Amino acid sequence: MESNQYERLVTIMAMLAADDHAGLFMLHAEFGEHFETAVRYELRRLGVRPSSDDFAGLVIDAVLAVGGCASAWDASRGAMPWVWAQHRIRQVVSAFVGQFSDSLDAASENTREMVDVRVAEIPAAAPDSGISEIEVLRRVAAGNDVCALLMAALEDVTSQRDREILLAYKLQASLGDPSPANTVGAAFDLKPATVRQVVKRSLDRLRDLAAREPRFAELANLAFLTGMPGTRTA
Amino acid sequence: MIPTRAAARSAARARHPSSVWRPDQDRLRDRLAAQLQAGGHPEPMTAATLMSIRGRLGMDRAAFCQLTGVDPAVVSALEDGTCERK
Repeated sequence: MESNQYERLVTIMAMLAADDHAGLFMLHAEFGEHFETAVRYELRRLGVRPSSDDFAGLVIDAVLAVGGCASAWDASRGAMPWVWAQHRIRQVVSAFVGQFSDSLDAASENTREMVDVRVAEIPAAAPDSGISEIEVLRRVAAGNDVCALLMAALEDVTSQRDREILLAYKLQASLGDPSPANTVGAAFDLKPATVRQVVKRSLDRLRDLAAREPRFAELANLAFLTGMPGTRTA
Repeated sequence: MIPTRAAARSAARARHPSSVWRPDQDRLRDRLAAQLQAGGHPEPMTAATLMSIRGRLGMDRAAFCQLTGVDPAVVSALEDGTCERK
């Protein structure tokens, strides 16, 4: 992005932070393509292809969602709003896609057949769609010893779900999100307090492991472990 | 020199209407009006339309008022929903 475009983006985000909703129209008109890409990425991750009308609506919802939290965006951090608020956009797309469910009360034979047919119709996620934070760490770990050690430690002391929450939380915090627990909680359908608990518990276990096991001693001084939830690391 | 078919296609692609990002701003206006209404705004459509016009022009309140000669207090009252209907 060119510097004059970025300056324009900062101006628009400042308007939105000051509660001037005209900025939404500018954000949509001037940077809508980026929101389109972000929404398309999330849809591909879930293996869903909506109609062009629904897609346009999702892009608008994404703009409204990012505009609603514009005051928390920090231009000095360098992340674009649609990247910084990726979890918000994911929330918009997830809400649109919904969760497959069926009433237990209506579980007659006919209904069961219908359910089977509908399950078979759900498109499978593309194998090369969206990369999770864990996958990114795993790929980096292949060429970096410290990351490999961190990955091994995480796999040793945390569950898959806790790992995902911890990495998503750390990513949000590093992007300048002032309330990462709220953002991650919305994405994982958890209360912010629960997210903070998971993060604290996982970090405590990692620190304990680094203190106990000489193999993981190197991790003790890692910013990933020394930064407490809610504080920013260097 | 006659351009190659690939070069002509490439040049045409940039001019084609489908290559241009055409946002549906009327829909955004309607969505914003619905949000304002849910928030208890007394004139949601008026406010959303006014903000949509400013947004399309790319102007903040001060610039818009300077261009149109409308009192900034009137624009603020219409958008914030603090105006009183006579």
